[in-house]
Amino acid sequence: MKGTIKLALAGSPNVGKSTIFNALTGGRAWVGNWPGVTVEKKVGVMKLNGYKVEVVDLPGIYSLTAYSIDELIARNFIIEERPDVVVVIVSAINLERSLYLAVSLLELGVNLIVALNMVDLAEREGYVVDVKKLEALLRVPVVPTIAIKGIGIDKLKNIIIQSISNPRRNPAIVDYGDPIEKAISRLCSFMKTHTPEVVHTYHPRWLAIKLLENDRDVVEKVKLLPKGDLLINMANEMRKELESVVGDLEVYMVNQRYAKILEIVDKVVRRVRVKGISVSELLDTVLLDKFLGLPITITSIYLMLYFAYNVSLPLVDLVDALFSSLADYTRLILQDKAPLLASLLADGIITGVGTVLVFTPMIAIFYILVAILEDVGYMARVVFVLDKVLHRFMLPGKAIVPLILGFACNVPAVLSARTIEDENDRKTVIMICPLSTCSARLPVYLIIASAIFGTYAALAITSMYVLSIIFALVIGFLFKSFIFKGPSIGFIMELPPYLMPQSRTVLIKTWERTKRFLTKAGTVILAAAILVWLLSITGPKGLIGPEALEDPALLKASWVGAIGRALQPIFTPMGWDWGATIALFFGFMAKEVVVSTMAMVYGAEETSLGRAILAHFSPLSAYAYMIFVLLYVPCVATMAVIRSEIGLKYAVLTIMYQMVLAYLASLAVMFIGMILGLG
Amino acid sequence: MYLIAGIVAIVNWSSMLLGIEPILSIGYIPPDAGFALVMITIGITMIAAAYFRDNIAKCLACALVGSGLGIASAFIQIAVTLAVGLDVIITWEEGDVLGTIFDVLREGIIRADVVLGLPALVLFMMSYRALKRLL
Repeated sequence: MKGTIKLALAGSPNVGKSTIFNALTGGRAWVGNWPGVTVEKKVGVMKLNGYKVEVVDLPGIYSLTAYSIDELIARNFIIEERPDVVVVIVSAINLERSLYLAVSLLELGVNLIVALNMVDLAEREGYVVDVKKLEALLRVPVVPTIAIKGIGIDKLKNIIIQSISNPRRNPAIVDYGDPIEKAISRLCSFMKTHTPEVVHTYHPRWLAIKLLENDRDVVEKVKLLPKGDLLINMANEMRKELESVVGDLEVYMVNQRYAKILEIVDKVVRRVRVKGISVSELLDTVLLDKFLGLPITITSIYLMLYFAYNVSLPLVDLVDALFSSLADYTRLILQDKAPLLASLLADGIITGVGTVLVFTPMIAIFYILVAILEDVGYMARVVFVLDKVLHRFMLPGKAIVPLILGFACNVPAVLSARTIEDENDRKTVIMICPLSTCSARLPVYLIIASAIFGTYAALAITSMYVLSIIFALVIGFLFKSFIFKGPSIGFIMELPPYLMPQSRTVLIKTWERTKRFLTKAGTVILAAAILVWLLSITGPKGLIGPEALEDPALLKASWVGAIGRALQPIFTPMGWDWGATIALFFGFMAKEVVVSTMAMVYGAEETSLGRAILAHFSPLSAYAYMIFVLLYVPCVATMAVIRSEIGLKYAVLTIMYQMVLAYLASLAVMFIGMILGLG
Repeated sequence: MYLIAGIVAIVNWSSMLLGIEPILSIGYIPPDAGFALVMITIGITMIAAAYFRDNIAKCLACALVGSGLGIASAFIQIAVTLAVGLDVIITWEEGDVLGTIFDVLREGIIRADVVLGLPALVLFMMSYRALKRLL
């Protein structure tokens, strides 16, 4: 082995970056987080001419500003990790937009290769890109590719090897005009003589440009360096001087970059035939239509969920039966020899973990459908259409995916929020995700509504779904208005052409997402299941034994009983007894457990649970209970995922706001109901 | 037809919510809000095709998308019916399993979305061919 090469893969969303990553690495990748943040980092390896090439997939970005976490991650990685070579994927069908990132990378002083992807689609659109001319203008290698068919990948690999021995950089790609260029030169000279430390870290020209643009991240970092303040003061003075001539300097410099890009595009793009209407454009006239777009989008999402939920039913039942049999078998062989161990394995681990794993087929099928729609190019349209609705509540269009997914399970819903670029938006969406009423809450609604509301049960249950959407939108709006205000970046998105889905890409995406669900949800549930089991078979007076899980009187003496009775006074205004209270406590594990706990605590079989509920609840307190179940704390798995995605602080904040919201909402129902004489 | 099926479904669903007997009792149309949503969307997309008859490109695009959704909903319903049939076998405890499976398949396959899938397929092929000639 000649050595290890570090390669970074950059590109805007929907330019074929994932396809090229998979083509280079064979799809084998490990996933971690970028240092200090919880944005996903994907790394793969390829062997090339005796070199081990570590391919790092940078987040999908349009530029390298400090306004979004993804862009900051990408540029900090390049500055701090100094990859040997950076490959930027540029879309031939949207050269203007894609080249902005390439130019930004060139200014950063990296050894760059441009992969000009989708050249076939450009030809289909009626124009060709002169690769030689583009290469000459950028002064770095340009490789035409059709990633989806694997065309150009071998050439790209050869160029990567060549670029190791012959690096090509062009940081002065943009000429900003005499006064600014002079300022950049003066700043560079100052750095070399007075602050040589910064030159070791940053490319001097790029740093000078960023200081003149007053880039907040760069300014904060330079402040910490010796004599950094001197450099910042000098740049500030120059900026003031230059702004008196050109206006806002940052805007002016961005415009200069675009002017350079337009000049390049003008020279390299040649139209070979008159542009006709494409299939993508034609379909978009309907799918993005202001009247038809929204109903088609909602229908597509509904059909997707309908298919995933129903088609997975046999598999869900099979997995359920498998876990039930496993639990029964475990009891059978261990009950007499080691009853405590039998109960731990059967009632705690197998039942607890099984509750989550039974949803795996449904989630996997849903992920397959999402991956297909992503590959086809329709998900980008869904986001585009729904962006308008959600923007009225200050939420990003991409929030629709987690919110819809949340109706099935909140865990993948929270994970799916990773696609949201802006960190504040992502935090907001993750924190409102648990308000989507997941399928685990449905058994609770069903058992209470059918027992109490009779023929109006469906109306009561439907109201839970409607309230779920209203609460998510309103709370999201409040978060965005008061907590996650932050800098607001515009929602820029590329609408990719419609393409046939690639089975390999679909399977890789599905496996990656499902694996994450299995490992994260599985591990958390396992720990929590053991904890609840322990709290049920022990009490303030010591060990009670597994019998407590069968006998309500013994359960009352356990920690579970003690906690239930301790919490009960809080819920007295709603008219709930300790049994209903402890059922909510167990529901923190998984919401379905509310039902089985009620059955256990009320000493009733599930078949007659309806009668027991009727005896313990009034219609008003039952409806308040349903609202509480809808809004109160997310389950353990969701909490764990929220913590891993945005940190412990926000996970705790989510618990707190949901508890307060659930309490106030159910109290309000009781209060209003009493006033109306419904109590 | 799609629009009519959608309206019937939404009326029956509303009746069900109010706890009264379905007003328009038609066996092939379930009283389901989701079903109504799909049928109405397909219906208005196809009506849009007629509305845009002077703009041949948009007319064909509407017909293509509407009939495409019609085929998709028919395919999904068939898949769901087969899955529910399979689920009956998996979860069966006692009684006439074959009779139940037959009932599930019959009720699933004669639904309006499956029946209307066939004309939607014909319309899809016609508009696809016309669109290919146009491009």
